[in-house]
Amino acid sequence: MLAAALQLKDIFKHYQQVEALGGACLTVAAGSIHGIIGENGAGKSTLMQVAYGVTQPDSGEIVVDGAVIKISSAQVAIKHGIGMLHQRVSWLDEMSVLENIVLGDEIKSYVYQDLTKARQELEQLRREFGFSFSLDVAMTQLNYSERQLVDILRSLYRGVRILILDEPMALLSPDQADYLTKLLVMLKLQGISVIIVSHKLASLHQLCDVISVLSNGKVVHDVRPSSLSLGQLSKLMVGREIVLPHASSRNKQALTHAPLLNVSNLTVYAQKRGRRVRSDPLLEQCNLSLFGGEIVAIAGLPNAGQELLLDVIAGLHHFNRGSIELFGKEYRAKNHYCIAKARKLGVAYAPNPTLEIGLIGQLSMIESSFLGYQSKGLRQFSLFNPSIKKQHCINLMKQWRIRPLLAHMLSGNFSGGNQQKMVLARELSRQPKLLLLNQPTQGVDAGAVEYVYQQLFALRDNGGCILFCSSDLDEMISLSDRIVIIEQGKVVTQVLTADIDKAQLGLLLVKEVLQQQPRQETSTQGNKS
Amino acid sequence: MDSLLSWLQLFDASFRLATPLLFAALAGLLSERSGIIDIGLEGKMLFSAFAGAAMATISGSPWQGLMVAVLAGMLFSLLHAFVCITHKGDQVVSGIAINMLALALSSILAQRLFSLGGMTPILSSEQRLPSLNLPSLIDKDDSWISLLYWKLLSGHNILVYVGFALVIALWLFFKFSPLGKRLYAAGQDPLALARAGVSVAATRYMALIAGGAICGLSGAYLSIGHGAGFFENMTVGKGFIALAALIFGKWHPIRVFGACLLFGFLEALTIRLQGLAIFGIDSLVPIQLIEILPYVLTLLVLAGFVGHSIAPKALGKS
Repeated sequence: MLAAALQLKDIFKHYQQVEALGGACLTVAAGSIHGIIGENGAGKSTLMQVAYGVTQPDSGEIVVDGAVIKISSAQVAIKHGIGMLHQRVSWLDEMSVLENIVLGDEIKSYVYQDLTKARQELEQLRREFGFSFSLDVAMTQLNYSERQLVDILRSLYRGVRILILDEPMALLSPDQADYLTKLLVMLKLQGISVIIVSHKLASLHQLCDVISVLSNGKVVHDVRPSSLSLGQLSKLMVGREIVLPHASSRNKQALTHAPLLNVSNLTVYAQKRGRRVRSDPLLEQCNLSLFGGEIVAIAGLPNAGQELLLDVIAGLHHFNRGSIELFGKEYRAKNHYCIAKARKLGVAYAPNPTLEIGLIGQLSMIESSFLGYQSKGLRQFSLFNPSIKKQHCINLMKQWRIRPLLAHMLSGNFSGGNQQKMVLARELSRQPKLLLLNQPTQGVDAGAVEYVYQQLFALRDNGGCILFCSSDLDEMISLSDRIVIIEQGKVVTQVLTADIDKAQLGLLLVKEVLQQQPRQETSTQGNKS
Repeated sequence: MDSLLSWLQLFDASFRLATPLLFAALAGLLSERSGIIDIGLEGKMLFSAFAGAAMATISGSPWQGLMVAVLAGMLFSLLHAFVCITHKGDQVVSGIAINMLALALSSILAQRLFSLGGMTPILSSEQRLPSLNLPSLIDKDDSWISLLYWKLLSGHNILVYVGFALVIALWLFFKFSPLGKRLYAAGQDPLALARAGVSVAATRYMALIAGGAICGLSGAYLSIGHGAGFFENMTVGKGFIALAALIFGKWHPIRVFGACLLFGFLEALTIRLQGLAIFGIDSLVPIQLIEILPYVLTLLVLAGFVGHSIAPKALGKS
């Protein structure tokens, strides 16, 4: 047994009346990859925040390399070689990657900061570990997962020995996830201990040396994945085996003859300083038809336009050309199609990232439970009778197992998975005819994913239709009836899910990558000039 | 020739009148860039004006007066920081309390010390901060360059030049200094700063105390630089005009400087207009009506000409 790099002993933490951690104990061996799993709200994120000094525990001990220390802030954690990749990124968007990383450097001169040495070091680390982004681009130009990876680069730069990753795989595309796996193994070989919190049981099962299972603020099991199967692991976590329902068992009778949604020649131009740039369309001549009683996935590389397409159909983003035909009525660019109109017609949208667009963190869960449907709320919930609203919220929370069961708590204080569940619960409770989902199960624990799938299939079998995009190939295969492939803003082809398996879908996307490679290079060069 | 001279005089007066606004606005810039709303500029300015004048009277040295004024500004800022950062109190309420406290405390202390009805004695020229004549790089003659140099640029109070230098220093500070970047980060995204391992609270404390010192300069300029002594409520809303200049200047040192010059010019203009006949009706226009012009124009400028002013993202959120 290797020596322990990090030990958390009997950590307790209360938020008002909620017990987030109730005596959690965790021992991480030096140079190992240690997985942490648990249902949403089990206290995983809180425990990691305690180790990084962002949250102060009520009681408990933290031991790093055999010495008891008090981690009163991130500053102290960094000094002891603890680094973290955060679930929610927070960077200074207009500054470059380099400037963001050196922000916390020791100040040697108050007048001027010499960045050459830092640049050299970072450039070397970047090459050694194969980070794809340049140091000089502004943070806004990176996508979400790249921004998360900057956290790792910063930790390496600060000489990390214990790296904590909080939900790193939630938004990664398959090849990015592969890259992360390789990166973590590389770190392990260098003697860095890695703690990884994730809901992707299968990835953790392959990757980790030890997995700890958290439940109700306590570590209930420490297991070696080599000694048990994936099914046993999920049993440890939720107390039963998780069986994901599969799309193939569908109700063919619900399939409608006329399309519910018909998108034709949809084009969106990029905007620079308020002017549209016709040479650079974000979406180009997209055609798409959706029938009632089917679930359709949009697959593509990151930033191929799948998220924008969802936004446009939901009415969150304008479009320049083409039309959207919803339930037999046509809308064109000049018709001021907007999200309120779409919602009235029966379109529901669960966007991503949840906290920025789907919820308002400063509102309570009660208000979040009918956000976007306030006008209906007036009639249905009676604004002057708060108990009805509360009951509605409590019902949703119970049904979706959102914890802690406190309707008055601010939605921003819930964990990411629980926020996602609330958005899904809200949108599904309206029984929409067309449901749009962006990363539907991001941050949601494996047990709850099962429930989400059941609900989605129930909606489909009642004649609704669902359009979603996801970075998880498994999810696309098991959830969809049809997969539409989008490439650089164009819908290129579509396949029936029944005709294809995960490897073939991956190949289809990779083939796209290969075809696309030369073009991508020219386009980035074009951006630079 | 005459009109050139009168324009020069007008601009000359704008410089003098813009300086107290400039110091206060730069003080506000520091604290608001770090994420703390600074409504208390007016009060800090007023109290440091009193503290500077009182010390100059007692000791006879304007430099000691200046030092005490700066200390007073820092002390009030420290109070604001203690309320807003350590105890996460409401920043606007704390600022208003500071304004009220300063207004009452300055006149009560002045009355207690000097028994002149809330004033300090008139200061002699030795008790005031000196004016600075620029080196004779250009001969004194009637050419416009010489006039510009000697009538407009030279001969101002020493603090006027300090103010100009401070604008450039702050601009460089935010652009190049690592500390400036941290300060900016504290107001833009405190979470990002905390994750980088920098104490947000310490950064904000530093910004507020530095701001307090600069605000002290503004008070000192009023009572022992430009003016000759303290009287009750002598700032008459200059702190709020400075705040307006800060918004008009979009929290950017150079733009704030421009905004302060504009407000200074408006004030100079109203003083000049008081002696003149306007549209041939010279005695009918009450002085008070002309005196409110800068305030009205402040409102107009803020309502119409600012355009889209983006505040530091985390301003006012603890």
